[in-house]
Amino acid sequence: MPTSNASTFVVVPTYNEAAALRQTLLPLVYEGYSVVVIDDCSADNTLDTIQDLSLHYLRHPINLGQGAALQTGMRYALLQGAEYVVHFDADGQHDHREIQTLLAPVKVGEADIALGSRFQRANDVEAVPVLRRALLKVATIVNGVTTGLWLTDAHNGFRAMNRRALAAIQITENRMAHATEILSLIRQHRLRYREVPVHIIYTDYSKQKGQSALNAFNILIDLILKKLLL
Amino acid sequence: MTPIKILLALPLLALVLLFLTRLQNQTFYRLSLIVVALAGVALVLFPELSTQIAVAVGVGRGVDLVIYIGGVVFFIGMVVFYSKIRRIERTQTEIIRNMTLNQAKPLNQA
Repeated sequence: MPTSNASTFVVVPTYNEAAALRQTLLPLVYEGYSVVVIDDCSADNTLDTIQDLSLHYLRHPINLGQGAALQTGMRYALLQGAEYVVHFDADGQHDHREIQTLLAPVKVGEADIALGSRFQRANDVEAVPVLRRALLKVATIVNGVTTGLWLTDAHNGFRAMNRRALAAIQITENRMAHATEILSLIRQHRLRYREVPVHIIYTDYSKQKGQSALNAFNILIDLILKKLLL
Repeated sequence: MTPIKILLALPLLALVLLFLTRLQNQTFYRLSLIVVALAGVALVLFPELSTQIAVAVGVGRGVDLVIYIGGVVFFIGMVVFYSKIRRIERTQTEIIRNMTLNQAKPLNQA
């Protein structure tokens, strides 16, 4: 199995996640994925904690945001000849055992991009804190209206794609609005997409790191401004 | 000619001069700046003009008209600057990304 996973590049943007990053990366490296860590100019000892792992390490000389880090990782993967690319959160929210589940529709050629969803299985939904559930519902509506893609989940950072999607998706939203921008690009390039149920692990750590309601408001403003100005 | 008129009109003219020399190849900005500044000078020198225009367009007082227009111009300026900043940000991102890709290092690759 490990050898066949090498053409799958798992892109992990990270910013001051030294506390959780190593634990997140270990199984990915062990399973033979090509792991690409994009250190978005962390101020902690990120590199020290992963120095001994076999992976690709990229570091932005200044902090640009998660969207920019993903795009840097995707460009790198494209240049390295990646067959598949997976977006994976650094804070341990995503389950590495679900990578293959997510990739399945892409690998069999039914979709160019698979998007993880927390809202397709009852026990996944229950794992989402109540307030966040409500917030995400609103976000799915905002996404639907602005991009024309009506999904069950929003801002789920767990995605898997083939080279066609990799080449088409060029993220220009440096910060959090990239999640919605990706949906716009899927629509624009007529990529075949599929939602796949995934389980998100909410730990105190990841909850604290996650997005606040205030952030959702900022994302909305970003998107509106983008629509108006570009 | 009261002192206040000179005090307000001269900086406006100086501003025009500054922008004309600094902003190159941007005819639209230059023209709009000249128009706005000349209108400003005219209003400073002939304050009753603003009242006449105000009454003509349906605003009670000349001062109110100036404030309204000032608000609109300020907002347009904000939007122009916002889009400029976005463009600069985009260029910066591209430069940083290329630097990052050039310096990428595989750790312990087999």
